[in-house]
Amino acid sequence: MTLHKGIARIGQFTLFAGSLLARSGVVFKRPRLVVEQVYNCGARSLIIIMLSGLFVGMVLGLQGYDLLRRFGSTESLGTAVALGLLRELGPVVTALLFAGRAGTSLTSEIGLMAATDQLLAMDMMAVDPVRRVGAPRLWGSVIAMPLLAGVFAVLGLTGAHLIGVSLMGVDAGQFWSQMRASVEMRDVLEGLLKSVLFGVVLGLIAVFEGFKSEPTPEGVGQATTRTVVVSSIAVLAMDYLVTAILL
Amino acid sequence: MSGIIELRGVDYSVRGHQVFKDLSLSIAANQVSAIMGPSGTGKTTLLKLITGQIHPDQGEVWVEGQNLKTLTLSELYALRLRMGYLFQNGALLTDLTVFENVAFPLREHQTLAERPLAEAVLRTLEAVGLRGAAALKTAELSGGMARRVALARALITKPKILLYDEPFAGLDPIALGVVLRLIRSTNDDLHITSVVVSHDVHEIERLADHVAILADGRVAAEGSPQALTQSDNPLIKQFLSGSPDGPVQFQYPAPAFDEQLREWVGA
Repeated sequence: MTLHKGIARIGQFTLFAGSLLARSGVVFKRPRLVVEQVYNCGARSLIIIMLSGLFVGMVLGLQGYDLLRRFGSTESLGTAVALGLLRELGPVVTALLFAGRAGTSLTSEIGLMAATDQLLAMDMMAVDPVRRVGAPRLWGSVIAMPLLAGVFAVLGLTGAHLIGVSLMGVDAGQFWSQMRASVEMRDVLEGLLKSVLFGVVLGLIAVFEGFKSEPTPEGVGQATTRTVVVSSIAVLAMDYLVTAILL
Repeated sequence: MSGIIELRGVDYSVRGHQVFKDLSLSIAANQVSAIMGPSGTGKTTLLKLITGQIHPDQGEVWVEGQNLKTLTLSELYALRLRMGYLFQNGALLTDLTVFENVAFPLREHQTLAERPLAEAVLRTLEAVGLRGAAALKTAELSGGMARRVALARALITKPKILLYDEPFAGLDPIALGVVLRLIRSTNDDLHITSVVVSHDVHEIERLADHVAILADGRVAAEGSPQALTQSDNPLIKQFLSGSPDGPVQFQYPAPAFDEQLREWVGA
């Protein structure tokens, strides 16, 4: 893609994002549409998020235990895992999985609706497709992302507890009490802020790519791929920015 | 002459290819008007102009006395509420059942209670003979059924104008007869204006009150189907008889064969 096309694409994205946000009033008028999308994006992503959270937590338990043992402070395992999950891994890994699981499905769904004239048919029935199809999907993903990141963090802690306490013999009391003493509200809020921001960005990208996809099988395939690629880069870059600002 | 739909001196081009040159056309209210012409003459483009999906480079499109180019989006939507558009493939919403597809415009534009809504939907489905199919998914419908559901969906908002894009393409003779009768009876019973875009000569002869034949970017001939069948115009004769020889060429314009081959392989 030439520089010229890249800049034009960013311009298109910005305009589309503006029009999508401007049409978001439907969220309050017909909350049911958003609830359906929270189910679509959120509930249907639960299995992958829970399993991933559990395994990430187990790895953190193993690695954290090995690292802390060298300094003789394995009782801090709970704190280390909780901070890692709440501030970084929860929002970031959830967002990357969300882009692959829910973002792709949003883009291909909207792309195929466009390819089969369903969006045009809505337009002909005086129903604005950006408002009716786009906005509920965007806000569904904004609501689902922090909920999923929370589930991820809880399962991650469970996994770390399983490995650290049950397998490696870290004292359960110390695991939890150290964590409660060190983790502050601002750590939780940092994770919440990140996951909401990621939800906005992922939703905007997935819906934009769907609406702008070429109405052909290749076009929808390429748009779906772009959703994953652009979302992943956007999430990691934004994560750095937000972390740098907050620290 | 002033029709419910008027195109005045319309020029329209896509990527350097001129589709319409100074096209003027008037469509009278409460009639079935057919727009005919060989493939690629811009019949579907004409429907897009009438529904304000695209605007002409030159000239004006007027519908119900409103110049489409001057309308805001909400004014255009208000006008579209009084128009029904039937896509060639039906364009039904694939995640909804037949019932929900027909209920869709009502749920979007009105706040009806569930009972009157269901009554309206089932009555409209009955009019197209598909009340029994209300619970079916769209994937379970045949092509003809999908088009009848699309017709029900268009009718439920009680439009004044119905636009059909190739309503007969790919239908078996029975489905074709059913759709043909539905278009006629809908037009006459509900006193609406129907515009049918098609290249099916025999069906249009049976159906239409008025026919306009497009060729070379403008209306080449128009009149009643009977008048057109008796026309001496070589283009109309060729089109109505389906002959490969005549003013409309089978071959897309191309350079000489050897010249194109040289260009293609670069030798």
